[in-house]
Amino acid sequence: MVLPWIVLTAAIYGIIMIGGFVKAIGTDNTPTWSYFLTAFGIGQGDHGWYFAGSAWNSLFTTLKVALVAMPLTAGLGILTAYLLNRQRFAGRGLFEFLTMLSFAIPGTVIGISYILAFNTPPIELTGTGLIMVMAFVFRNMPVGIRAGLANLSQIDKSLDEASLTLGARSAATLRRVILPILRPAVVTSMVYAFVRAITSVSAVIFLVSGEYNLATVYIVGRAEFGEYGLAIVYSAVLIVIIVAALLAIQLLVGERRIGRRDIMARRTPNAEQAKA
Amino acid sequence: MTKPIAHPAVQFRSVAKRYGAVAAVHNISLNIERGTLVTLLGPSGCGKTSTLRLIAGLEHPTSGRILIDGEDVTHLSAAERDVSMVFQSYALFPHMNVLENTTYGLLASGMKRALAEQMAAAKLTAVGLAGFERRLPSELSGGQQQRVAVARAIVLEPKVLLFDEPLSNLDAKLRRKVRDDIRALQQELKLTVVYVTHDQEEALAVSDRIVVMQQGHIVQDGTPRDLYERPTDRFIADFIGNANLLPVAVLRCDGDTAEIALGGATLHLPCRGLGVGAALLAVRPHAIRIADPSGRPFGLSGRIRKAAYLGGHMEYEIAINGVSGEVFVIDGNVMAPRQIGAEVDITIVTDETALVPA
Repeated sequence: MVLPWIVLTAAIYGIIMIGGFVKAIGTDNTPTWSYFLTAFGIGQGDHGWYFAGSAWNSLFTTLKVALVAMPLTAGLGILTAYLLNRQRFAGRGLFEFLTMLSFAIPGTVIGISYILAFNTPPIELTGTGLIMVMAFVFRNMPVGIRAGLANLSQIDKSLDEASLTLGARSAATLRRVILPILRPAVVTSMVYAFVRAITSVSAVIFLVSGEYNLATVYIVGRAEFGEYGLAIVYSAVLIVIIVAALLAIQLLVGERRIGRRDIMARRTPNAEQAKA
Repeated sequence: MTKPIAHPAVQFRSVAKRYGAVAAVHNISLNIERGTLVTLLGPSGCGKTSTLRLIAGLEHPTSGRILIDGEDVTHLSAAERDVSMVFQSYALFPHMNVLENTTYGLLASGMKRALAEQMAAAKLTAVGLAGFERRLPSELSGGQQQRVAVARAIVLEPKVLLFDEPLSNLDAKLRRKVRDDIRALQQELKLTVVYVTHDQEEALAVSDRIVVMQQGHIVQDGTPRDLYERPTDRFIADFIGNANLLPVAVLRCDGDTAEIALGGATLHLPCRGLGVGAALLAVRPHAIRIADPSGRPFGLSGRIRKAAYLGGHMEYEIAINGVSGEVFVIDGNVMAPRQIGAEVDITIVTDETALVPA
């Protein structure tokens, strides 16, 4: 059962990686750099090197938007999770429900809503990079919130209290105790925010403009015109970029260091209590 | 430094704590003397943990004042009070090793790392964890984790050290040892300790003084011996030492001695301020002696209802003739156990028995 799936998956990714470097995959498998150079060519003019390829503009916009949206999404998500889990206030349940709402609404609906909301003064944002960042932050924040909540509910409140009684104030407690333990949630949230900002189409297809085009929308456009070679080569580049970014995030933020999990499960007081 | 030594380490002045309509602590006033180990004892929900958290600053009183070392700390946060706490769950920081956990409070107060590590190492040695500095909490046993929690608290040399049910996550064998260790450490370092437990035996074993709480009130406050030998009411008599409570009639009070009627027998006991009329006799399970029936006309007799062999002693339930209910009796004679249904003569050792109000 498993083997056919592996073969199928490998074939799909293989076609994407190869498809952009042959004339027309399946019918004319002559290797070619022409699609890659059309999209990602670098020219030399009078004033030095410049990005000649047609895809550069949308790729840079995409990366910029994704890099801005990533920390905002993770930060707001984790902060919201902290408020929901550790603070008591009126309407907390409703607030928690509302944070999930942007997940339930179809992306195209969100896109149109943003256009309708921000198309007229005083807040005229349609066609800017900011509206895309906003759309991504609010669309992808629920994952950060859920990851944060799941993580926080495992951190007993007595850890906060222990830190307080040891003389560390709330800010120091957050920085030295809560955030380090929340690292997995931060990583999850950042990875998700970054990848979704690069790969999603539906929410932003109505938000792009001539100045601010995004990679996915560009690919959809190429495919619509039958320029599959360009679309596929761009997809291959996106895959490489995302894999590189995931590795970088993993290295930068790192994995939580809490020791051997099996020992932990066996020896925590709670586990012992459960046994007794 | 200018303050006189006379201040108690902790002082509650009619402190109350309410959560909405529910009062966790009713107007309690309490002094805890320096260098003593005071236990807050009571069943769950009696307000003992709330009281502890009020001292720590993790809760703030609805009314009243709290003083630590003569200084009003009522409105100070937990971080600003010179108090450390050992939590029931130990609350060790899972991402920090033993040394980092122990230096946490010192570094938070701005101490240089080298000095903090030196002090932490000394305290870790004191609790017997030298050599474990680089271990993570997840790599320690429950007892070791608890010792880290203790080291982390005492390294700050707090004015008051708080323990919240410190033995509840340990197995029965370890409990006695850890209990003795805590007491030894307290005496050696002359710490002021407030200790919360629901286990009366634990409280009797470690405390200089026990404060028994029930439904947010202090019901009795005294030395372990006071509480055990001179309970002020039936709750204490029942809660500490599991006394049998027998309905009796006080016939006469001559000075300090009361003459009481129990079943067909007459006993003489200190009357402890009780007048003539109905009262309860708190009789410890081992203060009831049983013997073969002699056919004497006076005294108490009864019949064995249940018997259990517990290795070191026998436990009986006995119905005393002329007295309603059954009494729980512990008897050291395991070689010749009584049979269920057997008649026995009963003597009550009045030295270990007290009158309490009905």
